[in-house]
Amino acid sequence: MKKKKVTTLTVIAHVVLFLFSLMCLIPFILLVSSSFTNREELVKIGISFFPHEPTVSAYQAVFEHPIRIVRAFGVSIFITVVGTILNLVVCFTAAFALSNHNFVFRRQVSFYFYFTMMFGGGIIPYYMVCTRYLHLSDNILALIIPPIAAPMTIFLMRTYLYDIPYTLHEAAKIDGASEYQVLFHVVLPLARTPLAIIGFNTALGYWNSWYEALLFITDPKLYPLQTLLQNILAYVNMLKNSRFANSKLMENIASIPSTSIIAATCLIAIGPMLLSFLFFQKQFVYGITNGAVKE
Amino acid sequence: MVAKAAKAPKAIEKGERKRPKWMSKDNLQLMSLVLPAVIKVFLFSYLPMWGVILAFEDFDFSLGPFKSKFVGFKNFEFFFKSNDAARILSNTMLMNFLFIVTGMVVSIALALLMYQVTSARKSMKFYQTVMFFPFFISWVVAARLLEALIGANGMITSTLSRMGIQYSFYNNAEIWRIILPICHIWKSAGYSCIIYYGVLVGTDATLYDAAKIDGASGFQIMTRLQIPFLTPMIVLNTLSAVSGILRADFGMFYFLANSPLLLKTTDVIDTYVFRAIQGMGNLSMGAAVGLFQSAVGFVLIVVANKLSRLYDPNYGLY
Repeated sequence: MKKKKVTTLTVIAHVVLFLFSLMCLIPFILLVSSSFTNREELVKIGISFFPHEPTVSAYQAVFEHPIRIVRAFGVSIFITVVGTILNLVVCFTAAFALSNHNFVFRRQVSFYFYFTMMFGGGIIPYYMVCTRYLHLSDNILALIIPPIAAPMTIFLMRTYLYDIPYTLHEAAKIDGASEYQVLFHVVLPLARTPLAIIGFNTALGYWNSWYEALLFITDPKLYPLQTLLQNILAYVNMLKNSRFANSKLMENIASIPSTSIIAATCLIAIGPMLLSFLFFQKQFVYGITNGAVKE
Repeated sequence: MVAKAAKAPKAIEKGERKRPKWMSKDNLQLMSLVLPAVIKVFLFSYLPMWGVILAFEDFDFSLGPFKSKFVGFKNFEFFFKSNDAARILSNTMLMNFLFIVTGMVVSIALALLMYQVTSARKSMKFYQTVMFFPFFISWVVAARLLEALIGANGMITSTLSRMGIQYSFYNNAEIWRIILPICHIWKSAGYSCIIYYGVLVGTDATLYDAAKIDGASGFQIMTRLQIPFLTPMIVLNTLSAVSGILRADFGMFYFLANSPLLLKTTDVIDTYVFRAIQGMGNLSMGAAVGLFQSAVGFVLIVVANKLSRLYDPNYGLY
């Protein structure tokens, strides 16, 4: 580094990258500061980087009636853990079969998965099938099952498995191992990195998922964090536009969460994911650059 | 145990001769391994496919999809003759086009600049970490962040009003043609520039040194050497993005710009169809639009794949 000459280009690069980083960071800083801003200041001055009279009342308010947010946290943690494990098991076993030369139907099954990436019935038929025939309305499974076994993930996993020398597999077969044994004792121990990468991505997806809840969940007890957040927002917005307000909402007007409460809830919700990203950053970046260069 | 196992393959081979190959123990085991994924995909992707008949019916929820009246292409006709069609189709394509172009330019530029400062490890780590933050949050939270900037009490709005300009971003539809691409860049550029950066890191750095000795400027190295290295990835990404031009990022439009006042520029196919589910629109027509979207998407993907293989036989989208 000491030997490197400082050229105009590197200076420009640093400036631009720094500005872009700032642009990525500023909204988060504003979120933090708005969670510490009191209501009067919000109305009078608006959100600024440093609140004049910082207050922790928003956090107090969140933790005073913690039932809703704790419940939502519980739901999010549950679907993230169960969903990630299930997805890894299903995708890993499927990818193992698809990467296996002994699997007679691997072309057909690959196409079977692949086709769904190109064509779908559309969201309305999907919604009909899930609610009418699979009975997923207000069912925690609606939050867990849909993201499982995404063809993209299966193929990504298969790409990683192709990197494991197939001769190991053959050697184990000659020694008389069954396919199950090869899966558990040969491939699984060598596939820890892809499992970690895909696992992290899946967990991120579950933690941030709101789509399934939006479609299928109406019972507030089953709200994951994101949906809780979304509903607080919708609730406040609705009250702000008073033309939408009806008598039923007006009764609860005393309990309107202020902007800072929402901000505080947001921070509580994104905290775990950002922290775990800081831990897994290396694997994550590796996963992108490696997964990008296919075949 | 080992000895017994060693003999096993031969024994199986003898027994196998009469059985077809797919009945072999190996294949049956592998089929059992792929089965859970096959079932899940069948239930959640293939079952809804016959649901496209909804698009050809005058759907009545109480009668169900089998007994509702069959109306042929009426729903499509109705949709394409309505004012909605022009609006949501042009919005979807224009917005996606803006996303593709701006996203590509910014992420390539970032990747090239990042390559310039690769040796500054500490700064690099900072940039990469911070640029990934937006990628890690959902659109729900992003909407909240956007509000902290341009909402009624947001920093930009209140700064403007202190300067004497009263401007409400959530009342002006046009400005969202600029806001949303910025949001898209903000959320995804950090992620996609890493892909390009990864390609650059994989190139032979001695080439750049050689070019430098021959008198090439840093800018020339970028345009004459590095961008050509990135071209396959650019072509691939553009093709796959263009094949999804009728598919909008539903979360973005739904959470960021969910106001009746903004529909003029931010109503896209996905939000339109979603309103049908919520009961604010016609379900059959929504299904028809969804089918149209899928069908066009299918054709575009097949064409894009053909094109990318034409460009380089090794680069298929699949």
